[in-house]
Amino acid sequence: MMSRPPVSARVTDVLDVIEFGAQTMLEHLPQALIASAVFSTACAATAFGIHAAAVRAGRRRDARLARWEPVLLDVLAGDAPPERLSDLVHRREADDYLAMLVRFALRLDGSARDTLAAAARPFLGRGRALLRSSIAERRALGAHLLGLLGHRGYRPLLVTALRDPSPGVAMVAARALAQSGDLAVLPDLVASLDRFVAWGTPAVTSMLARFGLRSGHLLALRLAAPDAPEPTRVACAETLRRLGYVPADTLVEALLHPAAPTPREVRMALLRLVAEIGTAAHAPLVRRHLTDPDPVVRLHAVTAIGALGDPFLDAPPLEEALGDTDTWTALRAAHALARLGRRDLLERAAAFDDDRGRLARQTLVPAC
Amino acid sequence: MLDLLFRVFELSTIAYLLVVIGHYLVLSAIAIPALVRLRWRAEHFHTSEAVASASAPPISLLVPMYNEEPVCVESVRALLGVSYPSRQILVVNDGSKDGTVARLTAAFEFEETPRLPTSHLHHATVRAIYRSRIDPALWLIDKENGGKADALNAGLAYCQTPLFCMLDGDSLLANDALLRAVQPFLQDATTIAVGGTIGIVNDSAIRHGRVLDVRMPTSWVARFQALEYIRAFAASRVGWSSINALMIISGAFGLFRREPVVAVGGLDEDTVGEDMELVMRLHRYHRDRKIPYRIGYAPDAVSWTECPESLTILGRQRDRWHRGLAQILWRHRGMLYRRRYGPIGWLAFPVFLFIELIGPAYELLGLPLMAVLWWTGYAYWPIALQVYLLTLVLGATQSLAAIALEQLAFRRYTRTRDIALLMALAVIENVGYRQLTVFWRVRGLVNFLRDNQSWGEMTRTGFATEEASPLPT
Repeated sequence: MMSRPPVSARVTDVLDVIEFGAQTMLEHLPQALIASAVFSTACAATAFGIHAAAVRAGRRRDARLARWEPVLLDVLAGDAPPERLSDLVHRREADDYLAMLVRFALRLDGSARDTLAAAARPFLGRGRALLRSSIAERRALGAHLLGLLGHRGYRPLLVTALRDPSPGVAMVAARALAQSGDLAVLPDLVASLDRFVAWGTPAVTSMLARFGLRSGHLLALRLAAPDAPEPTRVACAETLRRLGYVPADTLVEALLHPAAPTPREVRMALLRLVAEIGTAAHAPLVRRHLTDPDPVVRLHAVTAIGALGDPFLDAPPLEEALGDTDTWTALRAAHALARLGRRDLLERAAAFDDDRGRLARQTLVPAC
Repeated sequence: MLDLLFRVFELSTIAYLLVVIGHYLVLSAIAIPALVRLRWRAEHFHTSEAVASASAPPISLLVPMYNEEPVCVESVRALLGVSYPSRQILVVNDGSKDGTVARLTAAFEFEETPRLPTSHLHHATVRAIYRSRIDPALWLIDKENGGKADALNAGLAYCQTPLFCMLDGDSLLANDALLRAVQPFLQDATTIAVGGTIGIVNDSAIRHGRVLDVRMPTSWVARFQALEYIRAFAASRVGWSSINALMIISGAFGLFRREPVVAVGGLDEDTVGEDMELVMRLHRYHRDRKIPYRIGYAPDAVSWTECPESLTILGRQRDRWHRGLAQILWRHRGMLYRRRYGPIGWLAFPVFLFIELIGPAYELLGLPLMAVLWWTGYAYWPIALQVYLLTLVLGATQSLAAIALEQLAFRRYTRTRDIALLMALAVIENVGYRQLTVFWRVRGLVNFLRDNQSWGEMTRTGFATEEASPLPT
């Protein structure tokens, strides 16, 4: 195997190339000058050309919108059928037309969205064509168009797009499917959740929550599956929390049991979930986590106790937690005491000029 | 002997031109696909959809202010109007000697409120913390003077959100700037920092802190800077970001994940280029520990700022920037040509060292050397003139390519007259303005070598807020 040449040799090679280039240019200075001037002119012409094309395109777009928007408003008001609008649009104007409909579709819902979809129907082949593009951004645009303006017949295409090589395209398709609220696509969506890890749990949760409470059972099954990826299980737990899916409480009990081999991130998500859907009966499960060596687990346990705990039984550990080495846990403990109605303990702590005192005073200040 | 000297000078001038222009055009070429993708991405990114989404993580805006009395209220009002689902604004008064605090207190009804620090970064003493009665998400941290980095560290020490945004006291964020800047964090969980674009706002139409209409400035000093900013942001940063070798995120607009910045100890108070130094330290920290990370650039996220219109103040600014560059490259010289640091070590760092830092010294030496050669009769004028013309043409090419990229992806300047003006500036700046900036940069390098750490006084004139005014014809 050849070894890599040393850095000095590589630097020398680069300098040799530069010297050769400079020597060549020096020997052909007039030609280099002309070539540079031509290239420079080409750059200027390109800039002007792009500018001029953009100005022309802008004027064309404005003229088209001036033609379409009055009719669109009539269609939305029910004074004209959608075909009245789509008949005004030439094939080569499809992109501007669909862009206009998308702007309206983002602001409307219900029957108005259906009307827009009907107006878009003759041109949705554009969306299908975009989905076949070799460029990821074009495929994402196609998924976005079909998701917003397409009818249920396009959903199989979007389900296929969940497996697109580009995670960005898959995410746009996932959002589009989620917006449909069609439970039939939920199993495919949940099966592809591990692709969206990079997007972060809040984005995935926000998407899944659009299916509503009807999705709770399937999400709970996925949460319970020990072979499911950890981020997927966390996303399912977070979605159940956002939905306030109470039937998940027995599952939470089973997974939070000390003997259950529940991974750390899932355990924390379950603490957040039980804080939302649990009752006082779940408090003993949570109390075991108040002294966990992991500060983040303690933080979530403290928060959950603030929601489920007993104002007198749980006051001592929460007071103890005001001095937690982790600032965030201490802050949550203060909030938990306030939530349990134990402002008397905070007022007592606030009298002291130490970290606990500052924490207590910060918590006691009323929100505007 | 002089014959040889002239020959060496000729060859090295051409070589220098090739390297400088060559690297810039390569960066521009790398930037093209990214900018085209940006344009296409804009077709399915709608800020109204992003605002309605609950997925955007909370952001704290850290706004250091020192003697910002003329603009402080307008700046904060503009920030309050920025579209973002969940944000806090922490204004950090860095021991201002004017009426900054008084003006802010009167405008936003601040009252003293306790707030616990969330990390123990070093910073000057905090005198008091206030929260606005008008908007509870608006806070004022009043501290002893310690400099911009110190003020940002104070803000960071009290930051309670996973992300924070570094701003200048006079920054005017575009309404959708945060929504656009946060997208790389949503698309890639390893993202730790994202830089935005800084635009020049001098003489543009502004109303209630919103830039309504971007115009070219009327002062020539500001016009040249507008062109410089286009070169820097439309091509250079997009190019570096594409190969994950971005070394600079402007302190005027950068979005960071709080944890990694706290882990590296916050901003360094001992440099005048604390923004770039932080980015370098983040690169080193993650690469040394083999932690996957990404530092990106969101070209469509814009913050507008006022640039100096006086040559004296501009000179001080460029001096300071170059001093900062020298300090940072010296401090992180261990990254040079090290494979461990990837494209930063073997590509970006050498470019910044040899072209950005040392290059101006070479350019400045060229003039007296030419004078010596002319005096001694060894200058071959036809060759020298052609070399000089080549310098002009290639210098203009650099800028024209950047203007073309700006039009391709952003089109912030939409008037034909402004485009034509930019193109004229691309040529004119090579006769006088460029040489001035070279002089200031060399002065900065000399000051670095003399260990001069001062900022100099930067005066603010305030934004000219329009009531009603005709657009220029």
